[in-house]
Amino acid sequence: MDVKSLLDTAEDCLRFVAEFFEVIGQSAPHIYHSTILLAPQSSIVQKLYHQQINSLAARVVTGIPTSWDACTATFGTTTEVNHAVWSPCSQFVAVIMADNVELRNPTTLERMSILKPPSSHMGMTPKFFAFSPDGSLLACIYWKHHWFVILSLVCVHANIYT
Amino acid sequence: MLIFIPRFPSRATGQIFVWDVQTGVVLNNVECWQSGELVFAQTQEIVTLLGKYGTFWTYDWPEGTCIHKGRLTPSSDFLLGAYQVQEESIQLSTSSTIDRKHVVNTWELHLTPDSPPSLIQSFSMPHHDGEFYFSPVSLHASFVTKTQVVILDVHDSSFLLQANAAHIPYVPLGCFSSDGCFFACGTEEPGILVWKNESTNYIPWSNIRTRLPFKGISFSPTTSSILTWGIEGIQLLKLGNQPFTPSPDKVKHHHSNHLVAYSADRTYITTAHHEDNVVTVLTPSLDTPPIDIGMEIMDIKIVNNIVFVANKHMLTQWDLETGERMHSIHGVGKVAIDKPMVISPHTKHLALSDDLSWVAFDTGEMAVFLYDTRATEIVAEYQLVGEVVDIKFSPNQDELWLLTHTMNEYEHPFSLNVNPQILYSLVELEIAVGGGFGNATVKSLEDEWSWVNAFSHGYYIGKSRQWVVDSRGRKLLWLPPNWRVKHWEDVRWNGNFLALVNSHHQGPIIIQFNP
Repeated sequence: MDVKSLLDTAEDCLRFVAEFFEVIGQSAPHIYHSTILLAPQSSIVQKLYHQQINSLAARVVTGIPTSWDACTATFGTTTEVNHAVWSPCSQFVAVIMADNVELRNPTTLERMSILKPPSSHMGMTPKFFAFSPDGSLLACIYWKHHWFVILSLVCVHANIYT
Repeated sequence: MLIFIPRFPSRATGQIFVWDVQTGVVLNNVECWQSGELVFAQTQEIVTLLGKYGTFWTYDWPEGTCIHKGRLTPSSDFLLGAYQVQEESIQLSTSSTIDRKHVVNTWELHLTPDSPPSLIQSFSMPHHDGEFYFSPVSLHASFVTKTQVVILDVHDSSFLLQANAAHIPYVPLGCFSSDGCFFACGTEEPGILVWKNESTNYIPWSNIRTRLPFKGISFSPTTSSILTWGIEGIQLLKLGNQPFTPSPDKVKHHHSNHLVAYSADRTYITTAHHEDNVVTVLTPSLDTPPIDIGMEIMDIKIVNNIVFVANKHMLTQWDLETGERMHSIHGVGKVAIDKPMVISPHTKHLALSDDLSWVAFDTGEMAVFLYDTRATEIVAEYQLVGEVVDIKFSPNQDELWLLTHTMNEYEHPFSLNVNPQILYSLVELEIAVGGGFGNATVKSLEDEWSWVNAFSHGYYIGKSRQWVVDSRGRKLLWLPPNWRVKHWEDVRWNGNFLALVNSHHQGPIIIQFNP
């Protein structure tokens, strides 16, 4: 294998792992059941291993891309991501999602840690954040609205309206 | 029972927390009274909060004290979020509109008490509509609207880029890279267009189709990647050089889902966009070009090697191998091909039975009709409670299944239910042998997905939307994030075939599960 082929293979392996990091982390057998099936037709990893799989639970009739697209990693959520910022050192991506500040891997977008305020400050919502110039510190404003709540509870017997 | 909860805001308070990123330990927190963007000083022990309208507070966070506060003037300035951190100060840029002129000011904010902010430079340029972005490195400014991206050199207001949206509107969302070398702008596709700064102009650099919609974009510090975030998650995009040339031709963008039809032996598969004109043949052994039907397609079915296309006017048939239209001599049974059908112009949902005998359609007025394609007449009508959201013939074709929904919003005259619940029902209508509807059974569906799964051979998409599982709960296939579906309308089962038909896919995704 010449140097270029080796580099191409290494790059494809990196792409493959980044693309399928989520499922590989959840279920190793799905490297064979799902990822080989879902990799683009031009993927070197797909070409190397596709023939070695005897029986697959599924076949994608149409929808597989011919090559890797520009998207190297995605993290889908059901909760809106309100804000995101890179660390200046490129080692982290910080995101605000619901009431959490999360640090994520800048290659795979996998969660590395959740930064929480002390429990005495629970109920506050993160608004803005910033990394220090060397990326070792993260500052975040948590905000809380105090409400004077007037709660009136009126019980009305249903037969008043009938 | 009625619960009434009026709320009156009193005040808001905030805390700035500082973490050690490696350990996740909170190092200290400082109380603050306004929200705003944060900037660390080069020393890292000083953090400045930049509030609205030019207000700022500088904190010594290890000590937990505010060491400096003030306001930039004029106070109407809008913070651009463009910073350069110096040893003893930070530089930031603000913008304001004065007498139809756009003014960009660059300030130096000293981090010591009793040092008022100083205005370093100020640029004035003609006002343009759109969202405003600024690079403090290149001193270029951008205005983005849905139809145009403009980039100016703020020194002399000369135009460096004027790009008009060709066929896909821009999203008024842009970003300069931190080195000032690139400008990125969102499009509604969804995608991102990137231009490269060539000092005297900007050239098209990359056209990136994104997998998820987004509301924010940011270049990586090394400008090798772009991060986006939004309602469906985050995504990382590699910034390659794929120059684009806006096409003058209009490209039709579909907002309706794909239709998929299979032949009985699954040899032939065709797809089309609902209410579009073109049928695509997916069978690999055929080289049939896309078939232009010439009318809006409402449903498609395949019998043998013929695709039958129903629209609001007639049923037509097309040879899958040649792509040519066929006329009534090739019709299946005595089905009337090319004969005008009486379909309501308000019809939104139309279904063709597998043997082509029946066309069922809604009228848009809570009624469904059954049309006999042999007798060429409407033979049955059914009045519904609720709105029709989908029509299908049952898997064995002896019933017409109607998915309807109603809202429980006004179930009680004094209810304060602000989140009305949609109640789905399945109406199963027997189709009599000679035509007409027989008994009707109405079932409440616990959730609308049970409707979708009724057409599957024991496979379904799990609640996380992440896996396709079988009836024993075994995980068969992981679905990538951009394939995951939110709505039942995006999923079409046909036995052991799954089609993901959301319009944001360029074509449907079709997966066959092996028994």
